[in-house]
Amino acid sequence: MRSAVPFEARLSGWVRPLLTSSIIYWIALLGLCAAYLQGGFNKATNFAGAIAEMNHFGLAPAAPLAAATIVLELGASALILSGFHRWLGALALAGFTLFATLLANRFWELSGPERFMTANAFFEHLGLIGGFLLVAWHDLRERLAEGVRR
Amino acid sequence: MAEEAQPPPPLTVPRRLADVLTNPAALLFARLMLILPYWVGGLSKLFDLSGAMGAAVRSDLNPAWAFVSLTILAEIGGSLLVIVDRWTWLGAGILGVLTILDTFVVHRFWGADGSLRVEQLRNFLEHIALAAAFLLVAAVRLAHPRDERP
Repeated sequence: MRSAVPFEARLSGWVRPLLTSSIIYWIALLGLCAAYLQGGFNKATNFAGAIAEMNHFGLAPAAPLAAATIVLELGASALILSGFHRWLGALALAGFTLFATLLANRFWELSGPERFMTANAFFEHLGLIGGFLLVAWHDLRERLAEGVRR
Repeated sequence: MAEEAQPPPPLTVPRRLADVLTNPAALLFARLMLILPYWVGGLSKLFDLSGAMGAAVRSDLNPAWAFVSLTILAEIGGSLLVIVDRWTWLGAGILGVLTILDTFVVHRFWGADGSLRVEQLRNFLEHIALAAAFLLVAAVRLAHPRDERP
């Protein structure tokens, strides 16, 4: 009987309780949002620096955009971590990340080691977008399954 | 909840958006985005072995050839598992652990100072976020039954 269960199924049965626990899931969400919490917090405590960054990227008006970025980073992270419209928070950070990396990590305009580093960062940001899409997928699936407002 | 006679309250999610985002193809797309940095990293190391060896030596990884070949194997092998959706949790686990190890070798923000420290902290947290996303990949696959396979 036991040998009839595929090896993979047996092994995954062993890791499933650990990985699908809600605490682990929340810790993973926290890990996913950590960079954005830090980014938002950093900009909020050093607003002049945040404005300088906006100017560096040629974004105007700098101050309102810096403020909007702080609200987006902290607000969307809060949605994800609280579970209140988690999918919306995840999509917001996915869109923000796409915009930011298209703006800040234009590796195709560079050459040499800088190009390599920036390309790395560019693809890592695409990876993060994948992570947020996954969060949205999972959250919406659960919502559709439950059919309830949360 | 399912036994209640009254109809469920309306979804707060736009229906069409939910349909697109909860599609199995959307999950595949999210996974594709997530493994992109590892594909790019693994293949670029493969095509520039001497460069990869140089980078390993600079990071004090000895013997360099062992670290480089294991990294390439993990990056490409783990990505393949995640994409073809067999042993998904294992592939995600490999990439997640690799990301954490890489972060502790390359992005030691606690050893840097000044503006480099902020930069490294951000990189560090972005890597934590990628690792967290792999935890989510594993959790989502283990939580959803096989018939939802794309």
